[in-house]
Amino acid sequence: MKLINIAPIGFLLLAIAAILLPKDIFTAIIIFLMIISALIMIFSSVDKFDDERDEK
Amino acid sequence: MNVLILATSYTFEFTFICMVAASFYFILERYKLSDKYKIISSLAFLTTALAVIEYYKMHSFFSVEALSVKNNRYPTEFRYITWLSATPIMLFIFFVLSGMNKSHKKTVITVLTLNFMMIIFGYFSESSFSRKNLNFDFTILMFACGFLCWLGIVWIYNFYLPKEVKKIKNSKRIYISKCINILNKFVVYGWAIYPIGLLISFYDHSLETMLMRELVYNFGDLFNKIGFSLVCFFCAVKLSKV
Repeated sequence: MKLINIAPIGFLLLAIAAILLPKDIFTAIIIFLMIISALIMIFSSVDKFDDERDEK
Repeated sequence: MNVLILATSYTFEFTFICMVAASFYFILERYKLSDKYKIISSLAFLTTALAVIEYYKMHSFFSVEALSVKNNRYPTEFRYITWLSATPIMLFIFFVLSGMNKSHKKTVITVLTLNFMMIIFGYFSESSFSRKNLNFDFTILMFACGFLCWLGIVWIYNFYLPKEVKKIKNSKRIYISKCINILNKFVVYGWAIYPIGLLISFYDHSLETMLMRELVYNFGDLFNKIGFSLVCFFCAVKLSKV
């Protein structure tokens, strides 16, 4: 299974966990992972602007 | 030393430095753009430069010593003032890039109005909760209104604009289409970070919860402002060569 396929579900679950759990350093790590999953979803398509790929 | 205070304080420094670096990047790489698209560099620079001013003002307030003080009222107003000026520029960049700023004036006005209302409702929601001067129902109502405005922007960027881009009849369409396909993800996932941050702060009035909110906003600003502007800039570089 590709990481990009589970990233939206991961993002949602981590967001719910961050909202509901008591706020401590553990929640900060959850928030960090949530941001990472958002980044995976967004930047998985950034190589569309790759020059070499366009030339091929 | 509270690790959470330390982490939050460092994210202010980190975001500030990244915003400065991004601002320099947009100016230094301006030569890659044709005269028609140089405005993209200016708009991208404005987006990150406004954030530089905001974080310069805030990073001294959010030093480790200042964050350790209990019952300290955070200068959330700085964030909202910057969002009011920077997010319309971010959203407008795509319209300039695609040339839709002239042909789709009503869409531009709708997007900017929704964005303005989203931020205003968000501010009322956050300030009414943190100042405890109004009941929680008002806070939730304001949050819901802001959330609906965000959904409107999501709809325009995910369904309306991709359709309109397909109607463009020149060789630039392929790059503009690629650009909107990335930007709509920013609007959905990147901008979702802000309502999540606000919902997190509704947990209680403790120092830890407030720090968590600032942490979320810092990461949100970092990736959204720089990422959004970079994608538009890369697209403008491509369009300059066509």
